[in-house]
Amino acid sequence: MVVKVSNLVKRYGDLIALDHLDLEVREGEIFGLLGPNGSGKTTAINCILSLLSFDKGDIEVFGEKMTPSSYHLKRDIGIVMQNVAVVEELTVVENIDFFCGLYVSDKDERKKLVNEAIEFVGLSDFRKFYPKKLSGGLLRRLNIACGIAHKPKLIILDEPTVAVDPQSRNSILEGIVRLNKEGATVIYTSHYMEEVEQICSRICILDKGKIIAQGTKEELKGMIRIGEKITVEFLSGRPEDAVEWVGAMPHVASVECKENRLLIKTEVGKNGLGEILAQLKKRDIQTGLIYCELPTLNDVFLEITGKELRDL
Amino acid sequence: MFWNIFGYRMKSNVRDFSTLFWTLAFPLFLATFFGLVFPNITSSTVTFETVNVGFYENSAYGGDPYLLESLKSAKQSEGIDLFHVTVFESIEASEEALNNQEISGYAEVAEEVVLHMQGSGFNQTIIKSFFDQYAQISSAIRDVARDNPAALEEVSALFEKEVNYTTSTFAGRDKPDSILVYFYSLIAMTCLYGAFQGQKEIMNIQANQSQLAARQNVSPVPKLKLFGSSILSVTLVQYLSILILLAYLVFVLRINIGDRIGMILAAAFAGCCLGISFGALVGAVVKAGEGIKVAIIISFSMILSFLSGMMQSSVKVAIEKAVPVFKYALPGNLIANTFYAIYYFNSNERFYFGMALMIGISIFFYTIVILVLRRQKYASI
Repeated sequence: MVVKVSNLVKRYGDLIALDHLDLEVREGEIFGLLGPNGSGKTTAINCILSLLSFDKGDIEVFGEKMTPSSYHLKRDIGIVMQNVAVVEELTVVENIDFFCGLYVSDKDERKKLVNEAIEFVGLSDFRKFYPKKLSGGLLRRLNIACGIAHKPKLIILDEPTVAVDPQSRNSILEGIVRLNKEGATVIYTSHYMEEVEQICSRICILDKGKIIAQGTKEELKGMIRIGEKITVEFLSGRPEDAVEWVGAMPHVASVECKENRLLIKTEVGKNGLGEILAQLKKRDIQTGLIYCELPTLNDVFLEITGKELRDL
Repeated sequence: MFWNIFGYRMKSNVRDFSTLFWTLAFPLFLATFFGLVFPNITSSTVTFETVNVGFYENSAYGGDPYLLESLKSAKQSEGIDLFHVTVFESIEASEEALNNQEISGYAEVAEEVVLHMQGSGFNQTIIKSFFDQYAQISSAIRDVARDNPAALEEVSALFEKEVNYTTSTFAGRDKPDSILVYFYSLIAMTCLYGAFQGQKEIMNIQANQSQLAARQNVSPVPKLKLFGSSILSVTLVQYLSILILLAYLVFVLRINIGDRIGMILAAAFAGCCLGISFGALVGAVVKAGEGIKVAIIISFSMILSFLSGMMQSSVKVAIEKAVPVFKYALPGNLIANTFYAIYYFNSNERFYFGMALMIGISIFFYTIVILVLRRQKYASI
């Protein structure tokens, strides 16, 4: 076990930021911590890193108790913080070398690692740039390079794609997968469910400091009763009139009307699309766009908490 | 690892122009301002120069055989005459010289000694004082000669002695100069502005103060190593700023700050340590945001600079007279006084005392900072 968190409680005054949190991160996986803003993801990471004091619980990293002076453990951890943490007065290459130098003393080895990190994040053309001259996406890449240059065994990335353009986001996500393939265990926090779904092998969903679900994405989706989501655009007739008869059909879990569209959720293991199309034809309702979607982590979150992850 | 952090902190501090403005550009600007203003102040004050005075003796009268000799032999200080005496043959020639402002006044010696002067001023006051004193002494000698001729020699010796009493003597290493107080307090202010650097370095070490600090705190570098390398780098950068200021004062503004270079450099270093440690203390102890900490440092620096005589040199004297312990307790005064001790006093006692206090206070401040940093656990970031 790379990280083991047991019964972790962290309070800010009356607010319980982490409520008896239990986590296990296994070697070689990309572990996703998913939750809305304020759910306790960053607090959990800061506690794991011994940056924050906590009220109760135990934290082990690489099988040893983690404390602020566990320098031998910290040596194998790479951290990419939520807010960019670089030295404004140092260039790209100097920043990476500075942070790498906190872990690696040998100058020649460091030079090699710094060059590899620059190549890895695609900042070769910006080596001499100061951070303030970089775009938001490039700055995030620099932040990542500073965190991973020393080739750590455990990499913790705390919302590394916030305020990043789609191109940089894809590049970052691909990079994380590559790092994992090269042997690093990754803890990835985000409130973007698509990202977590895309790269994480196991996911823990947090809300108000509590774990509401944990497992692989398949396991998580298996926890809910929705099989698929069908959206039908009405070109004739009122979708409101269809809510009643569609809702009465077998295997339909729920029906909702949004503007000229009908949103239908079917039960797990049941494909109701054919039946629904047949009924629409029978009632002479002309339809436009029709599409099916598999449930997402947002649906998992919605079903468990009653609110949408993306709305928070 | 220590030297890698030190090197990059050096680079970072040298490139941090906003901090360098306060620690280097602003003091240089003030020094230039002082350099422009103080020569004018000096030139507008009266300087004590040999006074041109005329002497006309009306031969119709017996005259005073000693007056001319006294005028010529009067000294303002050793080797420098008080008067430059021109003897005129006629009253008209004396008047003409007075009207042409060639002389500040002249003495007409007839039945009595009559002083003729034009306008009033420092030179006229000196002439009048001399003649008043001469009249007083010669009258006294005449009285003694008339009443007790035997005591005449003794009385003359007494007057001679009085003259010796009024001769100025100089006990210091260099001439006392009140203008220097302004420049020394400026150096003291620059040393105190090192507090900005000290505060910034502590902010970069405490995880709850900045992202950069949080990032460094999760690295395998002990906090005290971060502290040591950062403080060392910032001390060198700040010391460099002070050396540049000193060089500017000496080579550009031609300010005579003394010739004991080793002691000046040592005092600058100790002052620099004092300033940085003060900032580090504020950074570690004050539980507030960066803005509040900077405001505290600016306020303290300006108040301490004011008390050390930067805005008005008499303030320093008044403060130290009213509360003598402030001479040593106020960092600004302490730094300025140590510099002045190097310049003025032959004895090194005051210098060593000032140095010991500055280093002692710095060590005290750093000890508190280290204790605070070591004990610190972050409840929130």
